[in-house]
Amino acid sequence: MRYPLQQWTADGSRVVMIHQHFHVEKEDYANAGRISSQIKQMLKQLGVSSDVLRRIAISCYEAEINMIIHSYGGEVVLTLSNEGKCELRFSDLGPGIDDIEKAMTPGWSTAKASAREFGFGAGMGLPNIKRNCDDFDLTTSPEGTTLVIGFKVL
Amino acid sequence: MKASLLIEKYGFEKISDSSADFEIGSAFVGDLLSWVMGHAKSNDAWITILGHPNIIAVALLRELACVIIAHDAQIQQETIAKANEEDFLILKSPLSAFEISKILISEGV
Ligand SMILES: Nc1ncnc2c1ncn2[C@@H]1O[C@H](COP(=O)(O)OP(=O)(O)OP(=O)(O)O)[C@@H](O)[C@H]1O
Ligand SMILES: [Mg+2]
Repeated sequence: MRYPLQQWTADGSRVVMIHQHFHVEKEDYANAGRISSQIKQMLKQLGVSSDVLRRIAISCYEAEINMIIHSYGGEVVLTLSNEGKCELRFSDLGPGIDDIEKAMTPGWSTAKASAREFGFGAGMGLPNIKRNCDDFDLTTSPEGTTLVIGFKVL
Repeated sequence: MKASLLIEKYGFEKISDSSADFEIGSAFVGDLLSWVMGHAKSNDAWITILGHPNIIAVALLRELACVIIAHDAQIQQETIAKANEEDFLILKSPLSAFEISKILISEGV
């Protein structure tokens, strides 16, 4: 079923169209990318344009993978509001990023050899996300990292 | 060129069940997932030596045309199963990424 996006703004009050949680398991390589494809599928059915869909898929995938390979696990929350904004919140349970500036530098990676064997660890994930989203907010501490990214989908 | 030409004329092995009856317009070579994620274009044929199931996730999210495994690199059974589930084409060849690229270029890709 395809919903026209215009319906989101029919009512002036803020109506959350989608609010969904997904659980991410540490080192769960077998399911890597599953949440991203579910989210992409949902947004596609809602009629989100293919360019925005592509940017969301890239960003979501990179952030999901980072949680799998670098963190102790956590969750992804997708929120789609009738103001035409898609927000993805990735929050994990640590160990945090030592130096955000370095982490944002293309090519910089602390990925383990086991992850590199699978083709992870180019150090391009965070830069890819930054380049593809409209809003980017990364906060971190040893207790956990939270990345909130936003996209205008209207 | 048609993907099927790689099988018929160049002896590439088709290792997933999907049809190869479609045009390859362009290609991308790479073995680092986030590099592919960031730089490949939709409908590219992706030449790689990675055989982990995650290549199918990347290929689908990025809407790539097919995956071509170079050097007869090892590919996991789960990867093939996932490709079959998603009706996605994987080809395999003993040639290097460079040799495969030369074939694609010579066929007008
Ligand atoms: N959720 C996270 N928790 C802890 N550290 C992280 C997290 N996300 C990123 N990092 C750190 O930031 C670095 C850079 O991340 P980025 O995604 O850019 O590259 P990568 O994951 O190492 O490689 P690639 O994404 O190219 O496969 C990582 O190597 C890691 O040290
Ligand atoms: Mg990464």
